[in-house]
Amino acid sequence: MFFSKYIRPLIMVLLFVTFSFSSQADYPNKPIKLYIGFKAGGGTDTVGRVFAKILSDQVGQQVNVINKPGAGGCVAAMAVSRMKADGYNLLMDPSSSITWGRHTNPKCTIKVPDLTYVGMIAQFNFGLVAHKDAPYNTIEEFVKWGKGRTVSYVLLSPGAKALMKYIAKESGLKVKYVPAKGGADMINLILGKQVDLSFSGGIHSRHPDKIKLIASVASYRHAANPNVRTLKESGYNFEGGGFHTVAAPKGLPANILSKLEAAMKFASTHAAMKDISNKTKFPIFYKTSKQALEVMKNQDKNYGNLTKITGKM
Amino acid sequence: MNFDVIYTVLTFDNILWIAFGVLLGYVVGVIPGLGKGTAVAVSIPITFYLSPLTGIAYLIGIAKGSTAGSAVSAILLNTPGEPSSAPTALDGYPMSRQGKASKALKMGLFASVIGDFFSTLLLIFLAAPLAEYALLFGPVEVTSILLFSLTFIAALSGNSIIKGLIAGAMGVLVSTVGMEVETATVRFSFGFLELYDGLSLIPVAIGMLAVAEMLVQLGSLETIENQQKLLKENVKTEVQSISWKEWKMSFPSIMRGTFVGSIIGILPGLGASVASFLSYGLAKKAAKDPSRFGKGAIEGIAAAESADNAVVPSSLVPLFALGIPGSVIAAILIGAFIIQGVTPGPLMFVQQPELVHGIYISMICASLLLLFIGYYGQKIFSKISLISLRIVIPTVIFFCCVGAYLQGGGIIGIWLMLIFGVLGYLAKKLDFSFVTFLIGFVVGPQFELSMRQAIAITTTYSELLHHPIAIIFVLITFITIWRIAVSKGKMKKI
Repeated sequence: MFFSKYIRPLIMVLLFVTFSFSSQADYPNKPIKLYIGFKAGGGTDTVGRVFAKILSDQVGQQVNVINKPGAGGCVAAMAVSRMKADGYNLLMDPSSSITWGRHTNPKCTIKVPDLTYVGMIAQFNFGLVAHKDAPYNTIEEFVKWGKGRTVSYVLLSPGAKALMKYIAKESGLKVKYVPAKGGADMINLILGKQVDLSFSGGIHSRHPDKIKLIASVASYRHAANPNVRTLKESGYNFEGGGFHTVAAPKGLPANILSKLEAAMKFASTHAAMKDISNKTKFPIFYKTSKQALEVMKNQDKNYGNLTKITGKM
Repeated sequence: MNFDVIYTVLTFDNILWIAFGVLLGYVVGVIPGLGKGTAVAVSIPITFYLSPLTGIAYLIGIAKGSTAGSAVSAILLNTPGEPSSAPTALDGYPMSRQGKASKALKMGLFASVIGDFFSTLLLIFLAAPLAEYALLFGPVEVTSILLFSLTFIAALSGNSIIKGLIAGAMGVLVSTVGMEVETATVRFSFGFLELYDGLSLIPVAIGMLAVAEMLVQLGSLETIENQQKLLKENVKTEVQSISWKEWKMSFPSIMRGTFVGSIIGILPGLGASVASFLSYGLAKKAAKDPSRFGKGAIEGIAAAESADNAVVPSSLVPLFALGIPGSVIAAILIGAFIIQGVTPGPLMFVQQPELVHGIYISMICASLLLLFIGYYGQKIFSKISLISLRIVIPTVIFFCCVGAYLQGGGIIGIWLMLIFGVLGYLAKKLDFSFVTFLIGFVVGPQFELSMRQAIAITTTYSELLHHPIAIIFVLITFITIWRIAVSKGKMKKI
């Protein structure tokens, strides 16, 4: 009687409390999935894998990278936003697949507040690239060369397509768009001389002897190619950019977020991260969770305005 | 090859997992009715907890182990663990009735290990140069090669070429479920949010391979139990070793079998059964006294088992070099590779050379462990072949559910597994090749992407003339359909 009336509920409550506490205190107690919205071997993936390794050493659990390519990273971002916010489903995103993708692609229905941002770790170098042997070195030369023919361009993301449509409209080019599942596909198409021009997040820097930069799409000239002008300098009213951003589904518990934030801060100073930053020419760009949200919001506004100029994909 | 890799591969952990894989594979192979497809599909979720190298090495260990293990039930029970061991039973079972079971088992093991070892070497020496060549292929070439392989597999996988093609096309169709690559337009989701991201391979593979196989086995429960009863009544476990004379007789068969198995493994779609039957047939033809075959000729076992095992490593050649799976194992391994963030194909050699070399070393390691485990575990494995299917089937179904739940996105994974289990069962009963279906499902996204790229690149038909390799593959595709349709038509008339 006494047992069933007092002790049993007490045990139940105790059990419940210990379990709910331990399940959080023990985070992570199983492998973590890090989703990447592009095929293995691209710019997001290359940095994502290094981050996964550092995170794994830091938290003592296997961190599995899962490549889920589609619609320039938007498929993975939307998928993660629908997942459980338990800290076991993370996303490494180039930030622009959300902020640029959602404006240029009506099917990409994610919004900035749909995710919790853990932080940012590195910066992309957006640009237009071509094979070293291509008979043009600047965007002006490309436009001149392309007159009277149909140029082929890699459709890396909806944003990249919108940008090219804008350039084509301004310059009177005829373009055919070749789909790809990320930077790795793009590199293959360029190296195989299958296409004339492509957008690149910056992974082209790994092949400096085979791929050349035609124009910087960022607000700055790339450190590796200081002589190549930006699109804006060439008279196109466009400046884009993206950051390697780690995000989780909305509503990530605060204690898990702070644990991940700490791991991210550690990763930003880790030797392996510096090494990959040197190799890919992506500068380290560390931002906390709060700062990352601000960057995302500003970027979203900026791309919204740019899309008014370029139009949708 | 970078020799530092050896140290990173041969860690205690890795060897332990490879050994565990080989052991598990062996046990699964021994149990009648359980095949390597089932074992590997059910084991994929475990690899999620391992590093890429360990996980993949573990799965390959299972494939190797179960191929060798299936000889045990063929010899002792006359019930091959897998169809490819059926020719082993032709001479193995008579040998065990004559009280020479131990000899037959040993020869089966040695032939398996030798076939496996040399085929692994072939993979190592062939895949990298082929991959280098494959890197030059553009979307047009890739599309035509995929078209050719799918057709080839479809044409050879069953009795009817049309049923094979239907199965392959259905696989490609099912792979298009979810958001498409370019604009994230949702296809075939029927309004289910869970299907937005497409169907994941694991519940589909587990359903098609494992669940369907268990349903089929339920039907043959009685036959297997009768055989087991027969074996229980007259088990002879005296140890015998193979004499020098028997070795001399079997050696040419083993070499021939290894050669046949390796070549057939490289060709997509033919599979281990074709190799072992062909090798057995050749051995019989080459024998001085062919009438001994079928009555307990030890070289028959040697021929069948060496070819059977040689298929496994060499079937990875098209997977590693071109990214095209030529067998069920290769198709499931793609799933495992992708979970581990590795896209199998020519780029793998450029981007992750350490991983590839690591896999090679692990495979050789698995060969040696196979010999060790098979030799010392012989007695125990003989006992395992007596485990009742009444225990095996529910256990396997349980693990299937766990795997589908963990890797298939929760409950929806189990539903998908059940749906594809039933589809797989019907496919097996109606002779629609589930292998072709699975391979179509796995290469579907790549096929779609490269075809769209090819269409975008070539604006006029005359531009296609600049792709001679693609033209050759398209031509072979049509010739394949034509030739095989003709020969199958003839067979039907007879």
